[in-house]
Amino acid sequence: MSGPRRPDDRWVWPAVAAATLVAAIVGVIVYVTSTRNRSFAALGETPREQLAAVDVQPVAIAAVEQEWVADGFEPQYLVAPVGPQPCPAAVDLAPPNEQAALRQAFAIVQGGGDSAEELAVVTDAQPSNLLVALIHATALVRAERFIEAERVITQAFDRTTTDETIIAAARVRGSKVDLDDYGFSTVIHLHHALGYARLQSAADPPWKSLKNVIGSVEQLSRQRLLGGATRGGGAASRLPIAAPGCPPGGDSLSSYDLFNNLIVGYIRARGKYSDTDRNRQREFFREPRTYPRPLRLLLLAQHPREKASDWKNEAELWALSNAERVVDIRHPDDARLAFNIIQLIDWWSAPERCPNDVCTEELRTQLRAERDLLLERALRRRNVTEEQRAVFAAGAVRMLAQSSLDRAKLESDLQQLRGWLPAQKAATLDDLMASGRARMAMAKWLVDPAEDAEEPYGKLGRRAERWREAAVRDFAAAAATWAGARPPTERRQVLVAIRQLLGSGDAPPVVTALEQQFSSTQRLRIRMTGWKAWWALVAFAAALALWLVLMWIIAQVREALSLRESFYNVELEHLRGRPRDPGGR
Amino acid sequence: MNNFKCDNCGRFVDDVPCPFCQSTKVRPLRPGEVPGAEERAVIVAPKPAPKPPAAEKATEPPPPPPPPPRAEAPQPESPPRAEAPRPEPPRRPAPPPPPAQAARKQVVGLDEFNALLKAGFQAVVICGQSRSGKSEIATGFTRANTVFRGRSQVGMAGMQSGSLHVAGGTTPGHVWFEVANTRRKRVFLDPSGEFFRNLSPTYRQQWGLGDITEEYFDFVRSAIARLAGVILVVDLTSTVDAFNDAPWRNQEIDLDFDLAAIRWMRHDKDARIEGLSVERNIAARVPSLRKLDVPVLVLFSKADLLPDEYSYSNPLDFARNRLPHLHASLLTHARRFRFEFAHTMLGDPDHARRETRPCGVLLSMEWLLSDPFRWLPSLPTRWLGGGQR
Repeated sequence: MSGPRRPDDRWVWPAVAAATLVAAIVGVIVYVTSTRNRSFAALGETPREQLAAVDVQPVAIAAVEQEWVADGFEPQYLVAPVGPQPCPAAVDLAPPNEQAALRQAFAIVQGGGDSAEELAVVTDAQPSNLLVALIHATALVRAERFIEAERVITQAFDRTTTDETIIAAARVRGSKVDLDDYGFSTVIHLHHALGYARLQSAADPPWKSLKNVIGSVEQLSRQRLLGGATRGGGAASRLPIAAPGCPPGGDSLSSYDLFNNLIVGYIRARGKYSDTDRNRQREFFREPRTYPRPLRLLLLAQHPREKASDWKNEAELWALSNAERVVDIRHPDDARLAFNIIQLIDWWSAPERCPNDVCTEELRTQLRAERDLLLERALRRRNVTEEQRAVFAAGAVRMLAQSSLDRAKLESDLQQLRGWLPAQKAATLDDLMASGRARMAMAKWLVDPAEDAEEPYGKLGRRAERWREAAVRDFAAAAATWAGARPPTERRQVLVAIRQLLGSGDAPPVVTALEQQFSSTQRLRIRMTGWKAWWALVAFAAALALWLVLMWIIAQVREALSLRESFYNVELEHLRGRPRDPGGR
Repeated sequence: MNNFKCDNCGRFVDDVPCPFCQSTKVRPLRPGEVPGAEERAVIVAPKPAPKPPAAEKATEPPPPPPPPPRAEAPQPESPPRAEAPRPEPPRRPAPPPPPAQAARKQVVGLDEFNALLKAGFQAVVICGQSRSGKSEIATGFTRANTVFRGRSQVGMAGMQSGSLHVAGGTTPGHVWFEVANTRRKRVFLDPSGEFFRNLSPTYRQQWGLGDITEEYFDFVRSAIARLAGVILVVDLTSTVDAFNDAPWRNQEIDLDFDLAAIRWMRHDKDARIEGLSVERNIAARVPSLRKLDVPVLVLFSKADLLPDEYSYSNPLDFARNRLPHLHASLLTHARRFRFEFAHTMLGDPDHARRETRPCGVLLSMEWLLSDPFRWLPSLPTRWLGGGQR
């Protein structure tokens, strides 16, 4: 502004700025003090310690995390691949009349080149030789010539009854047949290869071949698990069925591969599979048990519903039944099977297929625990083929987001899994791991925040805010549950702190229920004192009042001082600093 | 034979001060001035209220006051002067006392001014004697605003004496107004000095005029309803007696009455004591009314013609010492007030010209119109050191 200025302008405007600053500082102090005194940090030491250790159920967090994996993480049913080629040692175990053809077949396999074409010559020469058929079919499957492989195997089975004899012998309770037996191994591998070829070609329903062997394998598996007819290695959950002539190894076909492909076969036959009442009765019948496992409870609950709905989802029910049989023995130490069973559990326990009167809260809790165990096995085992890794890893990330597993314990396994994911999905897995760590630290951070402590959810980046809201909601529910057993004064303090923590977000039902224990006036006071905006308003009012008082003082001092000033003289002084008109004063 | 002429009332006199108006602005006759050529003032004999004088009757002027007892009486460096030349119509030296009906005449310019008030403007009323410099104060502020602050204001020509405002005072029977601050919607109301003269107790007493009626306030009634401030203009070069210890007593008395009347009209809108004249109503009611809730600025105009010992002094102290009646009046009627010197013209009164950089109007008007703390309740000026010593 040009022209003469009031002398007091020199100090008035700096004073106004200083008053504004002082008022703002006072406002901030009022706000911080008021809100801090009503937060969890203001509770006594004992309540804080208890609240920091309270069991927080990650309900809201799980919902948020599931949003992260909603797209691009859809799991798929994984098919167990065909077993390895038999080993040359099998030649000596074969009947003498088959050994020459076998030697020839092994020589072709070991020689490389276009082995399938050369093996076809050997197979044609001795079509009833099951081991030659297995070598030939395995070579064809690996070359993705599934229809030819299927024809080779079916032709072999048509020429002999050896397979039926072996299977019948294995099904007998107390059978001396073992999984590693030459003949049994050959038949199992052949059936598995046939099922696999049919799953891939989708020419014929796969379950016929798969079902054929499963009964015998189930029986033999049980024997081995019970420590009965075991040979070689001790009892193991994943029972390898070594290829004929081969020692049991990591890449052996296992009993779980057979169950896995049977389950996948049923799932692929969705809406097309139908069986007889007799078979249904035999399959779905279960002996009563004092403490049935949750999968059995689910099966028993869904069976009458399916019957009533005219077996609308029969294939899936057969799949569930087989999964239950596997889990009933023990949780499979096989990533693929566990992964597929989790999908089955999720499908059958979805709210649209399992209303609350069927899937009670108790059953759901048990199923969640079962699911978590299966997922942990899958994540630890990770025995999937290289082509299946990306699908497996993406699906496992989604399952992890839906589980309540302690991610810290699976840190190294998840790091392995991370390498199988593309960058964007790997980032989501990173966030899930960070979320797991933050979840562990959140309660302590909320109740007893250290001065310089970093926010536990700081590493979640753009997802941090939504995650924080969810975490706060989960903690609020846990704190309200804890406060329910505390004296009324403490309960009120906790409710105020919860309301402050929740802000404008909806309160969990348990918090609302706890508030209902107070009168409406008390509830209003709890809401108001726990509402940060209220304290912001109070702080603003205090700052404004102080500012007004300071401004008033400044204005009055200015007015009093200005009465002692002559503005005329001030303006005259100003004019004297300028050229004046002639004759001017 | 009269050898002198009083510049204040225009009469030819033979003594100093003027025996008619007590003014010391008496000068020797110039060549060509003939005493008999003037229109003789007719003094109406004082009559008791309530009727205004019906017949004109000459009375003898009051005896001259005793000689001044104090040496420090005001001694302007130059003789008092008219604020500015007034081309149309020529002012009569001493207009005869107006009949009561004169107040009821339509006030020229008031309708337009009222329209401005209806548009949300608030009025700043400028009060003072004729030729005290009221009009020049308003334009001086506009000029100073333009020169010093770079804020131009459109002048409102044509509302005055047929020429630009700066060239003359407000024509009798007119009110002149000028927007003082567009953003804050403030407008100066500069009524003709004639209106204030009609209200002047000293004038009425001198001429023996009857009681005033409410119509006498028509020129300012709407402005007081939407009042933002009051400016009292005191012409210190116009004295009753330069050697008197209260040389500006007439102005003090008149402005005291103006202030009381404004307070009465602002806060006692409809209440009237039946059977009492307006003056007595004011006298009876005002002590019980709230003080004026708008700031009052007292401007001592023509400060360039005052001795340095006056204009260099603190205006509040000057008012306390030299105009105690006016100071007491402000303590009585106003919560917030301020005294200030100002000059907006330069040179000999008869040949005065505009000061391009008026002095004393800018900061004082800003105090009145645009004080940044005006929204805060203020302590009375009395408590802030503006009271009696």
